[in-house]
Amino acid sequence: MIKFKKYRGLLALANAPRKGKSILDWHPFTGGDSLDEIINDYNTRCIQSYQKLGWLPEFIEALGEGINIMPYDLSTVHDLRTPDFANISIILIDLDANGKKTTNINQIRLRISKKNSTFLPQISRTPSKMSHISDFNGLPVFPSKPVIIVDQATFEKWLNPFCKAYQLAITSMPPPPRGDPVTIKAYAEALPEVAGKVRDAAIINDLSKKETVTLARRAAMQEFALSQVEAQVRTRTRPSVFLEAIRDPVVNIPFKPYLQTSAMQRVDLVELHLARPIRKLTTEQRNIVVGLGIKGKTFAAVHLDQPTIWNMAKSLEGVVEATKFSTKLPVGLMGKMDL
Amino acid sequence: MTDHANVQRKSLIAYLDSFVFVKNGYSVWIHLIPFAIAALLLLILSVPTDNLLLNLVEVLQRPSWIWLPAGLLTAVAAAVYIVTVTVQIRQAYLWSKYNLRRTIGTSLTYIFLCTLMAYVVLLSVSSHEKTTLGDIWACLLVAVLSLTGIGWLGPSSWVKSISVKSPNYMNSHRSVKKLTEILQCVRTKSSSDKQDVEDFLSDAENLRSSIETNLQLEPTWAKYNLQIASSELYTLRDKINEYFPTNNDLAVKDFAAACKYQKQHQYQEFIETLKNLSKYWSEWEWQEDPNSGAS
Repeated sequence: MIKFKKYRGLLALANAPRKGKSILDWHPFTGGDSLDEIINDYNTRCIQSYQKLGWLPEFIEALGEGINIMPYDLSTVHDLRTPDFANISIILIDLDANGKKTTNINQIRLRISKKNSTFLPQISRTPSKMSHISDFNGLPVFPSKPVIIVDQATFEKWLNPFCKAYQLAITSMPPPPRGDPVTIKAYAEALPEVAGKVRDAAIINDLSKKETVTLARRAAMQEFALSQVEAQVRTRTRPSVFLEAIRDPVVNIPFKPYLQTSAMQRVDLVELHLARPIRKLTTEQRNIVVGLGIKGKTFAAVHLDQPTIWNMAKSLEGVVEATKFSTKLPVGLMGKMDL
Repeated sequence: MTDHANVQRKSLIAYLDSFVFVKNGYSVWIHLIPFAIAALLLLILSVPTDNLLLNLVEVLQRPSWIWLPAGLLTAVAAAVYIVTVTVQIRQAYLWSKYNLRRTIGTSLTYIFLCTLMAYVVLLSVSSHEKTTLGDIWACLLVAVLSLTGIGWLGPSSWVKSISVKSPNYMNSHRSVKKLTEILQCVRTKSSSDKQDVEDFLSDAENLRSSIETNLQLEPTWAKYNLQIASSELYTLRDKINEYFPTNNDLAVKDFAAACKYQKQHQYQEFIETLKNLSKYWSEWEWQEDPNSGAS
């Protein structure tokens, strides 16, 4: 029996049917299947689609991604903490159960991950119900199309791209070119997460198949380049490397096929690491170094070579050591905003 | 003996075992001393010139006040013997499917044999030509009184001392009962907690361990289903450790769903193993409530 190793969370803001039953037993649509059955079908169909492509079971398990229903409903959603939301991609709101109440939604919006995209399908028996999408303004939360879903077939159709787009993204990503094994390993391990981000971008921007493939390839190219930077910077005493400052979010990577963005360009970078243990820093110094991505002595952070970085390094003289180096990165990064 | 004949013999013994407590012959050995006691009683009653056995027969021939104590003694002795056989059979078998007919078959067989032995002795010392109620009752009384000896410490110690052991599944029965209670409780909840998983894991491991220990005492022909059950419990333990590690709160909550055969995609192997074990313990089967919450 093939099953995924990786799942994205679905949180349903709805009531469980009755005492002793869970949200899995909830039937979102009149006369339809339970939420458990709908998601089981989705996961099964997703695996079958990989099998049709001829993928080996071990690759499907390692690289594929399914949907997992979080074991919470409206009565227990307050038990969720911020770290739990890191893995929640879909928040399914039952407008008939929530009505105009925003207590739960207010709690959730404070905890939603700001790094990952979250999708907000809303269901109701009446399409004219008030949507809650405006309660998530300013957050990376995206409504479904249509905004309010009234039947199971539409919901399942909306779910399909979560598998298809992900599959398209991960199958489009090229295998790593020859390089050192550590770089190749880091690249291969990062692919599923990058494919997830490409999938999110594809759904949000309603990308065509060609555009999704282009985006996936460019994101993969960036990831490989970053793996090489990581291999260059990583040392035995500093195995953790912070690269987010130079990583272009996937949603910002151009996806139009005709743009000439495949060129690599030499970029000047700065590697920062601690010269003293973090416990010996003042609170202000600690806040600055953590903000730079240096969480301890075993961390190194890579930033673009910009005056602001050097000014910060100068102000932390004796605390942080900075080393300049250059490498080739995809051209898109040249236009990064200042810190 | 050819393989085919061997298989046939094993099947025949297994079939016979569903009617009478056979196993490794433990039942026969443990009845040896009571039969010896019965023989001793018959000797004591029938050898003296004032033949007590015949006197007993005569007394039981006609209705009198002596029927009351005699009837009570016969009934109580028979009940004690049958209860002892019931307990021994329950201890010796993991699954109770044929226990009732084993109890009836075993107790009737030995009561009949012992009564027959007493009757043969009676025939040899009496000049009766016709078998009367008194004859049968007297023989039955001697037989059931002697047979209560299977419950005494002496006969069972002696049998153990000559290395004839019977499996003892009392711990297994307790574990099965606890597992059933946990499953029933968890299936009424919307989500499970760490204690549910730990208790279930502990009792599943106890059950498996108890079966493994007793497997050595089982005859070859009786091992097949026990080995499968033990293997499935081993798999169940592994899957619980893999899918519901107690240091992962989210995973632990899903244990209740998996016990209700939900989230089949993620917990298929655990669900399949639980379903396989339900073939051996039907009370573990999950029956979905038809009014389960359809809107």
